Amino acid sequence: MDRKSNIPPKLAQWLLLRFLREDYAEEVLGDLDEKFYSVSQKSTPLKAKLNYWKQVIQYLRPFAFKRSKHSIRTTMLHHYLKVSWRNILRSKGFSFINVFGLAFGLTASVLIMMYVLDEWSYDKHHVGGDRIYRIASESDTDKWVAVPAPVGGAIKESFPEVETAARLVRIPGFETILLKGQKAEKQFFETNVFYVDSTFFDVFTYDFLYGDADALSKPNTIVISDDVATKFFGDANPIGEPLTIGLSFGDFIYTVTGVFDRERYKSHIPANVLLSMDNNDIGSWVKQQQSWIFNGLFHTYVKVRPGTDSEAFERKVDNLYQAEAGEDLEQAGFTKSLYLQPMEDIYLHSNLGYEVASNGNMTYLIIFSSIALFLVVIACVNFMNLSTAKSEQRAKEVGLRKVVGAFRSSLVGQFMMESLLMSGLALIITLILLQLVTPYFNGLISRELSLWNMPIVLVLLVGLTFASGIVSGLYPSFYLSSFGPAAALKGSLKNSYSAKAIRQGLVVFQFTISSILILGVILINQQMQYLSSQELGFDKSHKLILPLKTGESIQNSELLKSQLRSNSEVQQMTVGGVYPGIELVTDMLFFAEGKTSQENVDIQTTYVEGNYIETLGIELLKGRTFSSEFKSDTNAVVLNESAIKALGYDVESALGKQVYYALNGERYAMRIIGVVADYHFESLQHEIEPLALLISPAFSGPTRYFIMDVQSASYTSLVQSIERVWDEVNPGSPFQYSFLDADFERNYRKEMLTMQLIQSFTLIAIVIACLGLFGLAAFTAERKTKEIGVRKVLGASVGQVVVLLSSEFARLVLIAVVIAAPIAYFMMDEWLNEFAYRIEMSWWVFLVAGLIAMTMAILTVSFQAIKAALSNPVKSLRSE
Amino acid sequence: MKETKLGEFEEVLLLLVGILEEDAYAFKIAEEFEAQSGRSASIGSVHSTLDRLKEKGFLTSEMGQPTAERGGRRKRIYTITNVGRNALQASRDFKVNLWNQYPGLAIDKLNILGL
Repeated sequence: MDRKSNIPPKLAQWLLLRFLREDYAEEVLGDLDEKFYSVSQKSTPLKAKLNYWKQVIQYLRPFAFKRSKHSIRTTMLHHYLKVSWRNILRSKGFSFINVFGLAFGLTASVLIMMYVLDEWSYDKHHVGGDRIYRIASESDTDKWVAVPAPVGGAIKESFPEVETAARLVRIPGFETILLKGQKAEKQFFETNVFYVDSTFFDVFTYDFLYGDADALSKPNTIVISDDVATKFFGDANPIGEPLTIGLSFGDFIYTVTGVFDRERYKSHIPANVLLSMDNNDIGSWVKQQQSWIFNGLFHTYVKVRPGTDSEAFERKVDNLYQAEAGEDLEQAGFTKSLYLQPMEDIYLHSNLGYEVASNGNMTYLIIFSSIALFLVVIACVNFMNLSTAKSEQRAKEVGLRKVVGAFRSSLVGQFMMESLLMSGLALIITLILLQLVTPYFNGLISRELSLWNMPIVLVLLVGLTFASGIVSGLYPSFYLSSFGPAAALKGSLKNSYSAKAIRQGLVVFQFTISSILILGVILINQQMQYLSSQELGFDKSHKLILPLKTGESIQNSELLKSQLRSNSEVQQMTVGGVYPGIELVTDMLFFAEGKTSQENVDIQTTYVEGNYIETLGIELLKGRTFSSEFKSDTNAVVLNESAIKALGYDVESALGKQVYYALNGERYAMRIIGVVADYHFESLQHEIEPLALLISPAFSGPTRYFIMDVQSASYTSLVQSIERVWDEVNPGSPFQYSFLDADFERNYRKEMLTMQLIQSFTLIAIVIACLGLFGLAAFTAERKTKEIGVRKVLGASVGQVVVLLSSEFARLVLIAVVIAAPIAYFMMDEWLNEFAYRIEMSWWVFLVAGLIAMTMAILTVSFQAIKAALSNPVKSLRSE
Repeated sequence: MKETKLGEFEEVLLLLVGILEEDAYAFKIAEEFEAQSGRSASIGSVHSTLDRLKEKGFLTSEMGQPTAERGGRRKRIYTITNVGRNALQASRDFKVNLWNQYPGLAIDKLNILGL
């Protein structure tokens, strides 16, 4: 018999020894061998082997298991925990920096992640959302996201690939309307009111609490959000109840046919109230809209059938438009083409003319995401840096453990446990911090975010924490435990070159990011400063605005004026169709004397009443303003400088000249009676465009604002006294007011908020980076205690020692600043390009940012350096 | 002392330990059990029962001499204790007593167990 093949199977033996108690090993192996040989003598070796396996498997009984093994494990676990805890307590400051640095970084980045995810969640819920497109237009002058009324219907009729289409019309100034219940006291201004086609809910998915997607199929029907429903009807089912809307030209009764849950889904259409477009108020106006080129106020959405090639469809849509509108466009001397916007991208990517509401901004999301990433990376790097630096001091401990027989695995376990414990602590602190900070953050960004509603973020947070724990545990675990006990005890691994290089690299990395953020903050601040210091061309302070939303208040505006004239605090009063800072959507194609109607200029138009220019403090360059004394003023126009130039006139000689516009083949003439200096009639993001101020009712839109220039010691009491007058004059219209400067600044709320957030997060990033540096400096100083002692004994001054300790870090920070400058330059240039009026980056900004980073670093380091340098050399040298 | 009741398999093994004397180690006991009863028993199951009997105080054990066929490993020799012997006796007495009450059945069946 072949002796070699006739031995017990090795694998089975190995397996047996895996689970068998050590003290049984000898006897059991012996017994099994005997069994094996006895079987193999009686039958074949194969049978013997099989029998051996069977015997091994039969040994899988509780009595034979390594019971001691488990208890050793738990004992060691206890030991690791105890030692880790002692280590954490032994260097409290160090552990504090480490744990809190990580916790701060994680907290800040989790907040950002929640915000970013929330922004991403818009319009992701619509059924077949990837097949919905909005028809937008592009003309010579701008991009506009709404189109004239006939476009939607024609597309639906002409192309079989269109499943359904719906229009939404937002009439500027009508987004906020007065809604009245049956009882007199139930009347509220509701925001975000839109008129929509009956097919609206076929295109968009809403979560109906009452009613269904057919809600708007009948005329004069209204669908409201749950908030609005609660205000008017409490908890009752409001289906079939009447609601009256109060408009400047009358009251109109609607029937409630649906209630939807507003908070459930987020959309670029932030509707509170949806009214059927087929109605008694604007319904006939809508039906009259047959022009293919005028009144592009209809947000038109189409849902195409699955499998439709969007590019081909887009071409077809534009071809249809050119075929229908081409002639009119040519006559008007205008070009315009249609294109498709994927609906799901609108919220983050579309910031064009006439959006349904103010959208998100992808650039900001990218900035925020990068900051979140930076913060996490900085905090984790810190954590690793400090952990590894600290662990090198424990070489002796490692050596001793090895001498008394610790396995490598138990050392790895020890270090891993320690860094996991630290990261676990950081996680707990992060969760507590988040609980505390989230409400404040929500207030700042006016959202309702909660970590518990975002499981992805929670998973990411836990994952990140433990990942950074593991990674920072890896270095000491495997590097330190690899040394022989003798080397470790001698402490010869103190100056391991690679570890130092990694640490320096990480410091450079951290400070590069910090410097980029500092530069970002400085430049954003400069840009904002620049914007707010821009000459607006009018006086935005002390202007009180009363929107005239009802017919009553418009009719009584003269009465209101005369009543308020006695109030000495009201200095000037006027009425206008818009005021600076709010959206201006009316325009007309004008042409100059001697030009044809095709050689026209697109001029924004604003309806004004007398005293508008004076009340707003707009500078009059030439001529006069409107006056009730001149009856002929209905044909008069005041132009801004840009309009004069665009028309080819000269400011000096423009007075008395005519400008023309053509409408339905007729030519109308207007006389220039005045020229005003350019002023920012929209926001500062827009360049100043040609503008015409007109008193002619032909140009009056549906909105009116009562504008007052006021001067008061107490604006609260002034507003109260004005409210009393208002209530007398307009008993049926609720009082509403705002201040112009606040309205104007609302245009930058997003920028301001972004700036605030970036500033706070930058501060956190810098603090974390400095915390890390502080720890590292402390560590360096501690290790160089003896060197410092010797140097001092030999006569080194405190200053020399401080320089010695600081210069190394200063060098690293300098490198970081040099790396950061070009990166920040490109990033900020991108951001600044979004503004029509932007600053240029000057070289000294980079110098200042560098100096700030350097100062922060040196301050941090020198605290430790001075402490070390001032210490008594006797103490540091005595210790051996 | 924990449990002192004897199960059937336990009782048999206890007897076998007594019979095999110096050769009473797990492998041999299992072989002997198979030979005498015709039933098969794995070494593991025998070992497990011996371990239990030891815990009950019916057996003691010590390591014996290494032999070549065991790859030079020692074996664990089990010895019956007084307690064990008493337990066996009690068990037998109990059964004999029962048998005595049992009407006219051959008593020699018990001899198979070597009593």
